[in-house]
This record gives sequence, C-alpha cells and structure tokens, in this order.
Amino acid sequence: MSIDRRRLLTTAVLGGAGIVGASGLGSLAPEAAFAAPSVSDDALKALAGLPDPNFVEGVVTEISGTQLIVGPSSGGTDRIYVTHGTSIWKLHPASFDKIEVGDGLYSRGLRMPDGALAADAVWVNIVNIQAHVVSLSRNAIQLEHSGDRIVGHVIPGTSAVSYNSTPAVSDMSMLQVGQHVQVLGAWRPGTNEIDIATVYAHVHVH
Amino acid sequence: MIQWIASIQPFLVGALLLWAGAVKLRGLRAEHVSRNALSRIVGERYASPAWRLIGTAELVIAAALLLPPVYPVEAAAGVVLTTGFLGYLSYARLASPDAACGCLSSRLERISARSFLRAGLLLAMVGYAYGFAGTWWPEAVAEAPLGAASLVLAEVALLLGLSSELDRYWLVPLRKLKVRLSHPLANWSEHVPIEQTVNQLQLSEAYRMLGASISSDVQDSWDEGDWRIICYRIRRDDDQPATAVFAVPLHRDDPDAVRVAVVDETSGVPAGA
Repeated sequence: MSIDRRRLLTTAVLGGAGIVGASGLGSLAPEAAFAAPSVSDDALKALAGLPDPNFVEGVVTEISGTQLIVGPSSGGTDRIYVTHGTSIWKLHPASFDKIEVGDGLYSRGLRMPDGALAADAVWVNIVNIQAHVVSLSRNAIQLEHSGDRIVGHVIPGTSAVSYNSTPAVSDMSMLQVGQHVQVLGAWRPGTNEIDIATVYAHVHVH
Repeated sequence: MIQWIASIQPFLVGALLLWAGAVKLRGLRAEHVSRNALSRIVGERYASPAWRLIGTAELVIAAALLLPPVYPVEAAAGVVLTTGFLGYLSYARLASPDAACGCLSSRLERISARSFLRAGLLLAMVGYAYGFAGTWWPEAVAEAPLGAASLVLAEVALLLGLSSELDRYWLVPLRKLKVRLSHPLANWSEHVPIEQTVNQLQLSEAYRMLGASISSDVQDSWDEGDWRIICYRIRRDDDQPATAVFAVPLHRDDPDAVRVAVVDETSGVPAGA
C-alpha cells in the first residue's frame, strides 16, 4: 500500500476533517448503514453435502495479472481474483506480489458469474499445528508433531506467543522444552519448516 | 578377552529383556492399542494378549540368560528373539509407518532409525554371547570387576542413547538445562505483535459496531506514534467498496480508546464526513 494512501487513512482516523471517534459514530449510524450484509444470505450459504462455493483451497500453479490459478486439493482448478479490497496474509498482512507459484492457500470470497472467486481474504501457506517443544535455540523452536520434526523459525518483530490465552506478546522466554503448544504460522513450501506467527502455550504461573 | 566380553553380554541382554518383559506383562492401555504396531499385525482384539505373550517369552529368556547354568541354547533363543524384533520392526515400518514400536514401553514413540540400531545392537550382543560365551556372567564379573563395570556402563549408555522411549529421563532434562543456562529466546524485542493489537481491537466498541460488515482479514497495518492503524475492507449496503480504518492504542490496553473511520473507496473521503 502506498505511503500516500496510508497518510490519507491515518488522517481519516486520527485527525483532520474526517475524524470519527468510536463515541462520535452515533451520527454516522453505522448499525443502520452496515449491519446487513450487502449480499443476500442465500448467496453466502453453502448447500448441504457440497463444498462451500465461496471458499477455495489449493496450490498456486500460475499467477497472471491479479488472477491466481489454483489447483485445489480436491482436483480440478480454480481461479481467484485478487482486488484492492482483498486482504492477503503471508505470515503477516502482505501485498499481492508476495504470493508465489507453489504456495498453498485458503481463500474466502464471493463466486462471480464467470466461476472465479472474487477474494475477500487470502491466507497463504497458513498452518495450525499441535506439537510439543523438543528444544529451543536462538532463532528457532524445534517441534515434534505426531512423530515428525518441524523447525519453527522465530521471526523478530512478527513471532508472538500467547500464554494461557492472554493477549500475545513477543517475549517467548517462558516456553519450555517438553511443553505442548499450538502453533499458527506460515509453511515454507517443500520443507519441514515454518515461520512462526503465534504460539499458544499453557504455562504454570508460580 | 573375547570370551570374557562375551560372557558379560547375557547379563545386559537379560536385564533389558527383564525390563521389556515386565512392561509388556502389564498389558496395553486402551488408548495405546490402536497406535501400537503389534495391533496392526494381530488385530486390536488380540493386541493385549499378544503383547503379554511376547512379554512372557522375554521374561523366560531373560531368566535363562541371567541364571545358571550357561547353555548355548539360551543365547540361541535370544538370537531368535532379537531377530524376530528386527523382522517385526521392518514389517511395522513398512506396513504402518506411523505406529509405535512398543518395545520398551507402551509410550507412543514412532519406529525410527534408533529403534533399528538398538535391535541390531541387541542381536549383535546376544549373537556374540552365543558364539563365544563360556562362563556364567557373575564369574566373568568377578574376574575383573572394574573392567566389567566400565563395559556394562558403556553398553548401557549406548542402549539408552538408542531408546527414544527413555529420552524423557535424560535427553529432555538435558535440553531443559541447556535452555535454562543459555536463555535462547530471552532477547525479545519491545515490538508489539499485531496479534495483540487485533485482540484489543476486537474487544472495542468500534469493532463491534462494524464487525458484521467486515469482509476481509487485516489488509494493512502500520504504526503512527502511539497508535497502530489497522485496515479492513467492509461490505456496505449499497455495494460501494469501503475501508474501515481503526486506530488502536499501541502501548496500552484500552479498547475504549479505539477510533474508527470508514473511508469510501470510490471518492477517497471518509463516509459521512
């Protein structure tokens, strides 16, 4: 996103003419303006027994323009339109050019008449695993997930840990060897390595 | 010398089989039955009896190896048993790669290269005893007690190192100690993870008002002084694209202070401004 756009949005929320504080929203009546989804509920519903038409998962086989060609795990291919309104997650909020051929993704959006999915959100290489901590090193956590070894890279400024379901912090020093954890992160395709977004851990507080 | 080393082996193999047999005699706990490689071979119904049967065989051979007199047939039985182990491991590795070995404990440790090395080592030890052992092991120990102790310690260490079931008794504490001494993850930054900001945002009144119409995940986020700005795409009634821009306090936890602006993407001006 360009600096100009960021400046515009910052001004909108923090200062200048367009400032709207949470308490000042009354006159804007967002409940009235935004409460109902613009798309009819029927269009958003999946039919029983059939795959959700507004959800796509698979591996990126081709990128052309702002279109992603995806080979879903279920077979066949799918097309995903990425627009300015699409959020892209690849370890953290990212831009379209960070998506590469070979990446795995999940996408949610709305099915277009031409069969393509207009994506609201794309999550690239996202994984969510239960594992236990085998060992800790300076930049990585060695994990074991049902017998398989996984290297979890600690990315400074990104990786966080949530202890006992409290808000995430960047201090990972309370993690312990042998501990069971849940790890949300971005897979490095073709490897047994992930970049850690968030570790969820339970620790005993003395 | 060769004969002396060989005479010590039945003690080690016997002690290990004694342990393995005792563990197996207790049977399989229900939650371990389905994960044990043996269940895949004999069926879950017979897994526990089969486990006990093998445990009994191990105890009998252990007793024969440990107690006098020394017959070559005892070591031969050990050779047959450990060869059987190797066969079992190979079959289990091929037939159900994710199953547990269940060799020395019912813990769910997968069959690995270490399992094979340990079974191979056992076969070598008992085979060596079959070929060269002459005297009962206490007599061999009495010949050179210090040498025997060193030999036993070395072999026990080797077997321990190859037993993933026992890692928690020595390897895990060692790793814990290393972490306690080196504090590898202590150098954390003051950086506030985005997860924390989003968490605070979701508790705010501003987010609750717009939450139902948010269609995307976090689109963009940056820090502006004491604030972190987070953008979401929202879907409006009139289908005009719009962005919800939230300003969340960066270094304090105060969801009530969260501000929001809705920016109309077609005109680029805040809606309702």
